[in-house]
Amino acid sequence: MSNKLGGYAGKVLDVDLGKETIREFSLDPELAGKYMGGKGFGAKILFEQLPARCPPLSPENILVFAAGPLTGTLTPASGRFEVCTKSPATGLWLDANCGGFFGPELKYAGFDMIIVRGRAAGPVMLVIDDDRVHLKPVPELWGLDTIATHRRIKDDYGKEFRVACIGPAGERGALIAGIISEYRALGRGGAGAVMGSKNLKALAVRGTGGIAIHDPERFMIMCREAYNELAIHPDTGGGRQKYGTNVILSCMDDAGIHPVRNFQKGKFDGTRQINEETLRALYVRDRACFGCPIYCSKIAEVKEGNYKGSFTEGLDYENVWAFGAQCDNADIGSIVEAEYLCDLYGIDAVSTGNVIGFLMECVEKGVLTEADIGFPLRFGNAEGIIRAIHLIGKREGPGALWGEGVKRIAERVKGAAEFAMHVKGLELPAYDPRGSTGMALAYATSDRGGCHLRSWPVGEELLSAEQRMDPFSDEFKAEFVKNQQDLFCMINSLGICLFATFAMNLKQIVPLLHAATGMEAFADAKAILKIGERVNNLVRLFNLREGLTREQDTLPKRFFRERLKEGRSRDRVADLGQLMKDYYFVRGWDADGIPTEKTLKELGIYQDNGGQ
Amino acid sequence: MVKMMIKIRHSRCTECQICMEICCWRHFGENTTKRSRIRVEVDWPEAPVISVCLACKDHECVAACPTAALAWDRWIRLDKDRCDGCGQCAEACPVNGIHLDSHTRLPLICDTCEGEFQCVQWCPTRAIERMKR
Repeated sequence: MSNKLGGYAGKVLDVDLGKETIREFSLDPELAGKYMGGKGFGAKILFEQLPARCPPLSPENILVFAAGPLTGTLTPASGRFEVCTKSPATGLWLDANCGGFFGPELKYAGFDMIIVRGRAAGPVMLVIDDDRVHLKPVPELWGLDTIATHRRIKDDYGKEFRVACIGPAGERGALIAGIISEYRALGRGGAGAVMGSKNLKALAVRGTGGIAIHDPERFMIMCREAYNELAIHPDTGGGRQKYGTNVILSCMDDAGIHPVRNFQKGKFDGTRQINEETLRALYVRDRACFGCPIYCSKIAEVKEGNYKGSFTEGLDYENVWAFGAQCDNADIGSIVEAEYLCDLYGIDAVSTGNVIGFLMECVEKGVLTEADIGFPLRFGNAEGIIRAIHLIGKREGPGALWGEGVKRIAERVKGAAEFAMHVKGLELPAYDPRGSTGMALAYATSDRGGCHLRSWPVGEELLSAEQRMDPFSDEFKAEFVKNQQDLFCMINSLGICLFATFAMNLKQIVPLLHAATGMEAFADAKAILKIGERVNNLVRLFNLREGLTREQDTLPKRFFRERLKEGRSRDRVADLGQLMKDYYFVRGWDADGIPTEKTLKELGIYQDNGGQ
Repeated sequence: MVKMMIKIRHSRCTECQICMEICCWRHFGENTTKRSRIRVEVDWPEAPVISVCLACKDHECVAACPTAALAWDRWIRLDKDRCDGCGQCAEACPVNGIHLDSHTRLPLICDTCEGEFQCVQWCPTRAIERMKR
C-alpha cells in the first residue's frame, strides 16, 4: 500500500455479532491525524455511532478494541491496547487499558482496531488469523474461568494465539467484570459485562506481519535512547523492577493516604506485615509485557500459612491495597489468593476489594447483619474475603448484588449511602484524596469515575525527588491535572505504558512518534497535547449526552466531612470548591462543566460533526 | 580470533521479547517478532524458555541438509539459492535453535549479527550474554 502510514497497521475490522457480518476497511489517515489511536479512536467512534442513552448491556452498545501507532514497535513498553465502550457501572464513558501481548499481535495481523457491535445468538469467539477472520461458536468455552479459557484456546489453535476473554462473572453480567488478556486485565468499569452481554466469550489473534516505520534509522536511535533513559531512571530502572508497583506502598502509608477500612483511616497498622519488602519475599520471578524493560509484573507464590501454594501474577499496589488495607487484612497469603481468584473469575480486583471493604463497614455500622451476608465478614477477616469473592465471581446468592458494585449495593441497603466510596459509580483506587488535593481533583474530574490513571498527581506531590508540588495546596493543581489528563490520554492512545513516562517525557516521545509515522500532525509536543485535549473534550460531550451533570464531578461525602485522624495528612478534609472552578476555567468549560463553543471550535470538534 | 557464542540464563528471562524484536529489526527492518532467529517460548505460568542456535561443535544441521545449503564459517551460513525449505536442519538441531520463516520457508539461524549480538546488547535482564567458546 502506497499511502500506508508508518507505525499503523493500516486496517480496521468491523464485526456485527448479530448479523454475523465481518467488514474490513483501511484506516482513514485523517482519523489517525486527529485522534491518534487507542482512546482517541474509541472516543470518535462511540461519540458518532453509539445511539444516545442506549443501555450499556444492550446489543446497541459498541465495544472498540484499539491499538496505537507505537503498539508492537521497538519503542519500549509498547504492548498496550485500549478497549472503549459505554460502561454499565457508570452509564458513562469507559476506556480500559491493558498491556501484555494482545495489542502487538493484533497489529501484526494487520489491524489497528476492532469494532464489535450487536449480540450473538450463542457464545462465540472472534478468531483473527492474519487476514482470515471468522466467528466461531464456542458453547464449550462458556462457563470456563479465564485461565482455563486461555489454555483451551491455546491448546486447540496454537500457542502463538493471543487471547482476550471474559470469565464467569462477565458472562453473568457482573458490573465489576473485566476482560482478561494473557493473564492481565482490562479491569475497571465493567467491560467484561459488555462483552458478556454480546455473548462474545473471547478473541483470539495471530499475526505474522510486521509494522513499517517511516524513518527507520532515526526511529531506531531514538528507541535505543529511550531504553537507556528507562534503564538509568531510579524508578523504571530500579525500584519498579525490584518491587513491582508496590514500590510506592510505604511512601503512601508514610504520607497518610493509604486508605484503611473503606477510607476511614489514612495509615495502616499492618503495613509492616505487607509492605514492599515482605511482598518481595513472595516474588518467584519477573514477567514483562511486550517489549518492556521495566518488568513490573511479578509472579508471587505463598510459601507458608493458610494459603500456602497460592500464586498469582501481578500483585499490584492497588490490588494489595484492595484486599489488604481496605479490608484491614494483613494476611499476605489471602491477598495473593484473592488476586488470583479475581483474575480467574474475570472481575476487577480494585472494585472487588472496594465492595468487600464496603460490606465490612456495613457490618461494622450495623446496617447489614451477618445473617444478610451469610457468613462472618468483619474487617480483618481473611476467610470472609475469599468467600465473598467466590460468591461475586459466580454471582451466587448475595454475590449477585455485590457484583453490581458499591453504588448499587448502597442504593439497596438503608443507611449505607453515607460511606459508599465511589465517584460516578466507579469505586476508588488506593489514594486518599484528603491528603492530596491533586488526587481529589483527579478523582472528581475523571471521565470514567473513580480512577487514578487519568491523572496521577501523587507522583509530583509525594514521590518526586524534587517535591515540586505541595500536596495540601490548591495552587496550579487545576492546570496540572488538566494537562496530565491530556498527556495520559495521548500516552494511552499511543500504545505505550504510562510507567514509561516516568523516564520518558514528550521531548523524547514526540520525535520518536514522528520518526515512526512521518505524520506532520504529530510533529511537536503542543500538537500532541492538543489531540489529547480534543479527545478529552469529545469524551466530555459524550458523557454530557449520556446524562452527566456537574453535581457528579465530586467525591464521596466522607472526604468532605470526616477528618483523617493519623499520619501526615492528619486533620485534613477535601475541599473541591476552588479547584473545580479553576479546573472548568482552564478546560474552557462553563460553570456547569459544559465545553464552550469557543473551546470546541478551537479544538476543531464542531467541524468534525459536519459543521453543525 | 576469539570465538564468541550466546549463553542463556532462562531464569532471568521476563518474556519481554525485546531480543526477538531487535532480531527481526536487524535482519528484516520490520517491527515484528515473528521472523526472529531467537525465540522465547512460554507456557504460563512456567518460566520462559529461550531457544537459539548455540553454535555447537557438531554442526548437525549442516550434516542434515540434503542440498548442502548450510556451511559453518564463524556461524551457520545459508546459501539461499540452494535451500529448498525442507526444514530438515530444524529437525536435526539438538537445541531447537532453527525456525522456518513463515514468509519464505527459509530457515532462520542466528548469525550473531555478524559479531554484534544485538539481542545481547538489548536484553534488559542479561538473560542472554556473550561468552567465549
